[in-house]
Amino acid sequence: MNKYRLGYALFCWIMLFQFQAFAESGRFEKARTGYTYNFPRDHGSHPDFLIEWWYFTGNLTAKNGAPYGYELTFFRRGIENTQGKNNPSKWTVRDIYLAHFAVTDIGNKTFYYDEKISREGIGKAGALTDKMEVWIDRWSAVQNGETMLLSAGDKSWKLDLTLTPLKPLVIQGEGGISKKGEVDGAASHYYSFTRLQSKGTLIVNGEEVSVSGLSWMDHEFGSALLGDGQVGWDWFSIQLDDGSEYMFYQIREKDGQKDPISSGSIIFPDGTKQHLKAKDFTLTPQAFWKSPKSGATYPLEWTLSVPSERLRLSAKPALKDQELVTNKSTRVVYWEGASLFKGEKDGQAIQGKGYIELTGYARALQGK
Amino acid sequence: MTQKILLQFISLRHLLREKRTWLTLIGVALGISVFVSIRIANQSVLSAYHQSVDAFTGETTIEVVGRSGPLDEILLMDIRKDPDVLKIAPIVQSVLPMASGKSGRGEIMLVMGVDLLQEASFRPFEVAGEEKPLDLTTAFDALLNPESILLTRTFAERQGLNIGDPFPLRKEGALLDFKVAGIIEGEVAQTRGGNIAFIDIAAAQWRLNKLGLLDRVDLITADGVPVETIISRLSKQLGESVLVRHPQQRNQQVEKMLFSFQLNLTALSAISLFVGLFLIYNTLLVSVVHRRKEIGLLRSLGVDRAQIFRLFTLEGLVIGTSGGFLGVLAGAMLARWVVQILSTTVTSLYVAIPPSPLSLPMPLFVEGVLIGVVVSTFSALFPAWQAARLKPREAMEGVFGPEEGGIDHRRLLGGGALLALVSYALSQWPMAWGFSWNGYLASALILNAFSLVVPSVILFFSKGIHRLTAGAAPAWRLAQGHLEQAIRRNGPTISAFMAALAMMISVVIMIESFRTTVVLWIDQTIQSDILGFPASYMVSDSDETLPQELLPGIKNMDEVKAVDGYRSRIIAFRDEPVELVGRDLAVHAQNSKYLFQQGTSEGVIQQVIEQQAVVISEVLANRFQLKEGDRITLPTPKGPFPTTIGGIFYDYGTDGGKMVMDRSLLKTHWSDHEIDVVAIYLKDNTKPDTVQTQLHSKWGQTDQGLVFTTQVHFKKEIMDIFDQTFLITYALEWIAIVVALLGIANTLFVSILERRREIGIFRAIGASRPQVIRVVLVEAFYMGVIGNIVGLACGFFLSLLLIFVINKASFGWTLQFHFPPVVILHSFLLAIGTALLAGYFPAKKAAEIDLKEAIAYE
Repeated sequence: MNKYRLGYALFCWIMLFQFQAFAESGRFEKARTGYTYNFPRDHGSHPDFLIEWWYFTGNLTAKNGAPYGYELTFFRRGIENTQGKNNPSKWTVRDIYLAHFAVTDIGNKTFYYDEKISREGIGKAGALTDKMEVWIDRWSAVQNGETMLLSAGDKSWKLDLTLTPLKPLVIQGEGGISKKGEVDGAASHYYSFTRLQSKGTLIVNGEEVSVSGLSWMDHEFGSALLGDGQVGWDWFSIQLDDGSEYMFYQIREKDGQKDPISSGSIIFPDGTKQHLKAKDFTLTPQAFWKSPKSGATYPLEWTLSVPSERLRLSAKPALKDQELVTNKSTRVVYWEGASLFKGEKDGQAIQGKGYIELTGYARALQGK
Repeated sequence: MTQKILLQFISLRHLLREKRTWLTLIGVALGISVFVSIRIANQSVLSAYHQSVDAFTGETTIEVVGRSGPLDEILLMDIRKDPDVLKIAPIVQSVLPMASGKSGRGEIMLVMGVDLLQEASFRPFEVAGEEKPLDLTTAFDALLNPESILLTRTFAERQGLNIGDPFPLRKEGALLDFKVAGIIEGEVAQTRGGNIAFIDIAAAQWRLNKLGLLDRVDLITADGVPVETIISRLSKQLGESVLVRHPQQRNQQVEKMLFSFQLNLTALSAISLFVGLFLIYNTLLVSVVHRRKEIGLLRSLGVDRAQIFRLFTLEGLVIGTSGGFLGVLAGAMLARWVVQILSTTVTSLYVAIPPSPLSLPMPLFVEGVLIGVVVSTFSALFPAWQAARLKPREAMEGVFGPEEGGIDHRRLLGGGALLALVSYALSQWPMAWGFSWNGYLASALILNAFSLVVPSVILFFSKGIHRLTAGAAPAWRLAQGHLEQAIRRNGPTISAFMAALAMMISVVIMIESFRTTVVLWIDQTIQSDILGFPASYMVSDSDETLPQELLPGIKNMDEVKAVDGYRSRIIAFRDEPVELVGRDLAVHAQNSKYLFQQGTSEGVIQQVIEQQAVVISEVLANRFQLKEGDRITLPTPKGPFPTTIGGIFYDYGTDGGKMVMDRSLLKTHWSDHEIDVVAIYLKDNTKPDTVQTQLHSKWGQTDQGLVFTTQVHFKKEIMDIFDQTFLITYALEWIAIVVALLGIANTLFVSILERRREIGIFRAIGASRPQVIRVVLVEAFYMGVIGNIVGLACGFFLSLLLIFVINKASFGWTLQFHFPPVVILHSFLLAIGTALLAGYFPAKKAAEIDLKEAIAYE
């Protein structure tokens, strides 16, 4: 008998990894080429799409130089609720909100994470549709003029940050969509703030520290993100010291092959963007780490290259264990961690920081 | 040292050899076993109750409820602003009956509508799903489907239900269809014996007609902040209409009543213990008398008084300790049975208790043995002192000292009178609601007072008998002579017997008074010819109401004279839950009545209707110290409603009292249009059965779950519940009687041993065996008669204390004192029957005494 703690686990798993086959359902739109972005409206929520997330990561430094990493992601997932959709109760579920919050205390080799799940309830969770304001309880990401305010955590681990864009946002992918598969609608609308100046406070294990650094923000919405035969993805966000940023993702298929749909982008110091197709870059795993918690084996060290830019980078995690096991029994597991990048570009030595996200490595995800 | 060992050896050997030691032991063990079993049962039931409450409370630190009814859900916005509120669980709930069960019996479910997405962080429960992981559609549809319901494993197995099975509930005469979507395990699943079901809050609001409303909000607050601080802050923030409290407070009223109930049981079970005390006392005293020679011998050999004292105390201790151990073992076995009865009784009277697992806690065992030790030591003191003060010569001679016959009964009488006086003073102590310490103390004193009177009564009785039996057969006179002679030994025995009888009689009088009062009350207040209510109405907290169309439908029937729609709801009056009843007072005044403390039913009600006042039950008046004419303010969803107490009426429910108003007020101020019960008055009340059949065929189809019952039937049902409640009380009393019976047998046994020689001579001069038997039986008869006379008197006073002091304080009822004359006859039959039974075996033994041996005894 497969027992689960009612609540988190089931939904996290459903939410994050079971996206296929839902574009057909009547209620939700598909992400298609030709979408016209309209800000600040598109910073807000898109209830017409099945899946949406606001994703923030960053590498921060305290005044004494202590390095930290953080992740705060809010997810919204539309719910079909076939039987209950006519229920006039305000508690009727039309969207489920989830949030993941993680802090990496790199100096002390400590990784902390927490999660939330909620229906809208009576103001308990939600997202505005005209601007960015998404929250669950007291965790929130709120647009405030040009800046964004993040808040998450509880008494002993807490994050309060103000993010100010140093570059304008970039629309990822081509034609307004980032393709995830060959099927129609297997794509998302996806834009990023790739360089956000970040300032605020962190409470790390009960101790408050002032921090500053750089953050990255992704906002993505669509209705079918992973196609059949796709098992997970590896995703990289890199902020280099020369003022450029790189984003890569590759979707892995059941046989271990990289899906040709994988892509990436370069954001130059002046803010212009160049789209990268799968053939334009290589991501090669170099060293692996087996998680003692989940038993999953992750490729944590990589070499990355973009021949057109004469860029070669090696990537290393700031801390090996940055794995989120959202529940033991269903093994909702992924790795999302602050990472360091070093290499050369155009013959010049270069380095930077960023985040790597590795999903679909814990096989038990699919259940026994 | 060696001397000591020798003494103990002699003493113990003595003890083991004597049959009466074993009788005493059994008596003490019985007394302790009853006490222990009640204590165990009380604790098991209480802990089962607490466990289910705790599991239910879970991590909740504060709960928010409406004072006048459900809360507006918008309130959550305000609660959320409080920085120390970490988690908020909104709850919509209803207690509803299942439409039908495979077991054939519809059970009552507490249906909790909760936010299933976060419930696990409040209450410890796990859901067992299907083998395979659910895919998205199934998972959400299963949980959020308004027809989905989660049942407990206990319940599902009892009803033979599986995931996917239909599970219809009933509400206002209609069916609410549900499907079993999952099985709950874990602690919460034990609540209410498994009769709890969870549905999603959205479904609950929709299907239970509570859109926009919440019945309760549970909060988890920050660890470091005192809950009191948050409570007072939230109270201010949320305003008057809302009650913010500790979750434990919800059950305070129930706990108070449970406490009183259990205390009364414990007190009753102590009766057997008390009788056991007399038994030990008696045994040892007899032993002193019987072993005078031995004592004299020991004293001559240089054993001092202190050692003799210790010797006899030790004997008492040995009996007490062994009795304690035996009693604890027997009590543990007895408890198995008592627990069952007790949970049934508590469930039908106060609150649903899950089947209580029998817990046998060590402390209770230790307590049982300790009680044995203390009681025995205490009761051994006087006999031991008696033994110690014997002079060696006196003892050796085996002559009765002057003190043996000449017990100073006048001084004892004086002591008794003093105790009785103190007891009376205590009973007049100002009453406090709850634990009646003065009542219990007064009862103990009055029992002791009458015990002290016993020797005087024996003497008086003996003199009277002497005169009466002047011409009777020798057996009567012989027995009388011996009765008086052995007053020191017979006194305690009769006292013990008297005490047991008195307590029995007082409880009988109390129950009879109670019963008569209730019968009178039902007869006068239940006048409607037919009552209609949902099948689940008899379950204390069912929320099932009647279909709206029922009341006008019945009103239109030709046979019907009038209909009274009755609605009851719980409001928070002065922060405590109080039952508020709305009914058609005009109809009630015309056709039925309340028994008011002052004024006629019609007069008071008429005024109450005009002034928009309320009437309250006596219990409620006691609970809140309210008087007629007091101004009170009731919280309503439309703001505070000031009103007056127009009258106080007698009521004998166990619900902590109620407040009654005209139903029109409930409609205007609470917007409550529901009805729980219809009281139907017929034009021709000679044939309620035909109308009942008509009603049943029209509205009473099984799936609607409506019950129509005639007045006669309804009254009988109430009385059945009443009688069942006192079952355990009667059982306790019988055990006390058995213990006393052992005491009588014991004393008579000794009496025979004492008089071996006398009986031998008696036989030698020509008495037949039947004649010997007769003498002994007559003495037993005398003892029974004396015990009963004193017992009746003592029982009478005890019953006054029980009815007017203890019961009043514990439950708030005024009972009409009712002394059934038949009690006198019954008690006589019981007392004499018991005494004769106890005397028969010693008598037979006496008759078997070997002539030669007996005479050669010296």
